[in-house]
Amino acid sequence: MLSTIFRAIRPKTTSASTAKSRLQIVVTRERTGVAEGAIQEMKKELHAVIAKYFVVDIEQLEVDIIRKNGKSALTLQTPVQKSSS
Amino acid sequence: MGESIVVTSGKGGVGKTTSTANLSTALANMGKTVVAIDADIGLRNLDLILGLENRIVYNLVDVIRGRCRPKQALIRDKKNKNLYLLPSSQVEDKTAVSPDEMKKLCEEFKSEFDFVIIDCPAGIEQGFKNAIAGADRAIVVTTPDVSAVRDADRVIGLLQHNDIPPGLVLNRLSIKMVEAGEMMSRDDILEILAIDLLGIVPEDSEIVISGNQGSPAVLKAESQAGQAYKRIARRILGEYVEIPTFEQKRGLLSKIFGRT
Repeated sequence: MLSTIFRAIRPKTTSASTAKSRLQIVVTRERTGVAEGAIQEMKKELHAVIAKYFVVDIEQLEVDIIRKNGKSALTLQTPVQKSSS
Repeated sequence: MGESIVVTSGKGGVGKTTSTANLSTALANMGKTVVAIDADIGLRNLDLILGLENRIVYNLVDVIRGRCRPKQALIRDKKNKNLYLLPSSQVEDKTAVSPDEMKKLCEEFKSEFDFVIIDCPAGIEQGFKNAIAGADRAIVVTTPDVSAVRDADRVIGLLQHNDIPPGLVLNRLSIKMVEAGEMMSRDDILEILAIDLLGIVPEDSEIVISGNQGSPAVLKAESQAGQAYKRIARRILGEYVEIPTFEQKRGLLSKIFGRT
């Protein structure tokens, strides 16, 4: 009974879903042959471009390559608070 | 002309030798003539899992070096006359043979046997290159954990680069852990690896017992893993066999009060 209640309020992230996300990123990065430091360099350059339009914290900028159903995609996510103009 | 299949994984310890032993035995039991080749030079194990370790006279390296004829090195299973083992050498290392030599040997065996199943060593260096050289297709074995899946992906890339079509065997799946969200499911893994699923082998303590006894699990009706290998062998022969969901039957009490 108690375990049913606890299960309802437990957070939805399981270790299996974490493993899957981590693997998708790692495997796609290694498959596309992107050089080791390239994503970091690209992130810095992207941040510079975005910063012309929005106030963005580079620490919160997430850039990665993910893979789903046989296709790779470059993803970029960042919180935006206000424009920089 | 027979067919050659390499059983590979990248990661060590995920079940290549166990899969080779069980699939070879199952195919032989289904009436096919099979040569199982232990291509792990220097660290042989296929002989142990098949229970043939006391009958080794010549090995793979002897054959390739011309020290004996192939038939002299083959060990025929007494209980299953369709099954032959070509053991590996325990003293030499992987530089003792070349991919071309392996390819030639596989061609020779293919002309006389229905199946040549090659047990590949772990890794992606010389041993791997030797093992895949003579293969028409590949079985990639993985367990549902991050390291094995990552390595499997690398190996799949190499196989595809060499025009060897891969099929996946997902080994040591624990439905209990998958249901609890603590192990990746078949769908998760197929999404990442994106190759055909040849079959799923559930976690089964019978595998350890079988290894202890030198008698593959396919020979035991009570072994879930053994039955899974049987189904995979049938699929290799072209039969459509549904992959079971391996759901555990739960009593009423455990359904009310949560998982046992």
